[in-house]
Amino acid sequence: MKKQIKAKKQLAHSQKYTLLSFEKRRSIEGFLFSIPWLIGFLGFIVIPLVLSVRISFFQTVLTDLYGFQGTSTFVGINNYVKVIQDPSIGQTVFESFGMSIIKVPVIVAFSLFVAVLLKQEFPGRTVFRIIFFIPVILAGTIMTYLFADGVGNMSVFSTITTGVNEINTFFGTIMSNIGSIMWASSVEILIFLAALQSVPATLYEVVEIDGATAWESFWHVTLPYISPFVILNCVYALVDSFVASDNPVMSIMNTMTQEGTKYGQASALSWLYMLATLAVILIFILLTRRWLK
Amino acid sequence: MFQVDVDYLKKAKKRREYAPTVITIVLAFAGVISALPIIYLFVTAFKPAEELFLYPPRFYVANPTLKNFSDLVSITSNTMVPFTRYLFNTVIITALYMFALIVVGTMACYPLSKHKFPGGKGLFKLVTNALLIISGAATIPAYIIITGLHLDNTYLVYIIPGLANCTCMFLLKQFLDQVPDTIFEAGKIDGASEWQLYTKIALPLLRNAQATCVILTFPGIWGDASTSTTYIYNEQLRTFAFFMSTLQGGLARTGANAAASLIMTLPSIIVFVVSQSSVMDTMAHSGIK
Repeated sequence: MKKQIKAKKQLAHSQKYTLLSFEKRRSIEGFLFSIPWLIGFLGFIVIPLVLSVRISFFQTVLTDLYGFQGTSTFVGINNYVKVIQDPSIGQTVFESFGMSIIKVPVIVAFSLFVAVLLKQEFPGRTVFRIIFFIPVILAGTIMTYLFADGVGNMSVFSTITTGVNEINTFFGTIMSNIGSIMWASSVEILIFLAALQSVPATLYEVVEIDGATAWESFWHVTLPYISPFVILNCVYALVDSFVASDNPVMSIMNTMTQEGTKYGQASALSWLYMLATLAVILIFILLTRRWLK
Repeated sequence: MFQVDVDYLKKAKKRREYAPTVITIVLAFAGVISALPIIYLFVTAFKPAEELFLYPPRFYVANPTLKNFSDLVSITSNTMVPFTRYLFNTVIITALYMFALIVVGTMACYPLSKHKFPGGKGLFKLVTNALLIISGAATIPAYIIITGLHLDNTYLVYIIPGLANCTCMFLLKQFLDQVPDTIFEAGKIDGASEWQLYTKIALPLLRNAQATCVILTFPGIWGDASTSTTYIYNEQLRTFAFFMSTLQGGLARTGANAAASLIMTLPSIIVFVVSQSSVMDTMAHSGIK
């Protein structure tokens, strides 16, 4: 009896909303869930960006940024022209792109290699996973401490590499390069590890029964299955190297901001740089799209 | 009829037996380079003054001491704000931020992944593009907005601006996309509301992705010193990372600095150790398959 009443109530309830189909109504309900995130996204990412576009068309100083009155003058695309005409900026951007394009494949290949190894069962697995994740753990203040202002004004890294340098300069350079690649690939390793877990174990069983070696099952099962994550990691590594604080273009931007009177130019440069970055990534995605499908 | 290549099978078995050793050796070689700084960090925190300035620096400590830690406490004993207050701030901020980030992120990714609403795809493209945003471009406008909302000089300034985290959103949606729609349809047929679909199905299935988000964002918020410098004028509300950055420079504080660095690093390592198994846990275990 109670059930019948409940069912009737539900029917009456649903008849109220006959204008919308069930699916549409549910979609709107679901959409409500993403509102908090959307507000944050608009408020702290989209609106600041739009404002920065505005700044890039003005010649302005910090005290004036609130209202765009007084000393701020509209200069049109002058800021952009100045940035493009500066030959040193163009060269720096070009060089840093070149470096990233060499670095990214190495980082992604290395992190995939390590992730595949870390997925295996072997004693001390957790310890190794932690070791390869250390760079992310040390991000921020600790990194500056280790790199710049370490104990007794000696950075840990320079001490390590000078220690090796004394043995052999050539070996030392190789060591520090390997070190920097490993320090850049920890997030990628983590993403690959998570992706590798999503490959169904049954697929491996099937190919094993068919007589595939580990090498073959990597190329024919693992890689096709995690290919979206390979793309994701490439994009991540690209972006990471473009916006790293030690990227020369980023330091040009920072010095411009610190000069106080060049906010307009700094904004113009960062927008041009972002468009160039987007173009590189778009080309990359278009090139790899075929392989994905 | 069937020919079994016995030799081949034997070789394969042997290879499988040797695999763990080979893997350990290869990884150990690569891991040493990553591990050296952290070992140095640990060791330095327990070095007495005469060992701190040795050259070349040692990767071990001859006479371990806790003096660096007591120095750290005594540095703040004369000031208005004790160092425990900074630590308390950091713990509270990190806990609140992590909780809010996961709630907001999972709530946003569920409809994006499992519902079709107009502009949904466009929004996701916007998110992936926002991953590329160069923070330098937006720092000054962001400052204007945050001070305009009067968020500055409160705990909220640490938490709210970072909630719409694009990397987390991207990861969460990618993981939820792998969950078959049929699970949600089954829920709908059983009469589950949207809220129930989210809490009872999406949230548990996303547990691994949540852990990944925590691991990725924890070090950032735990080590956040710049927010304190930019937006906080009240010394009582500043973070431990900020306190640590004030210690840098000055030979007399080298020991205390090393101890503070260890305190800064340990929680991140613990968070990773605790949550790594759930990140690595197979999706198969979480009932997908």
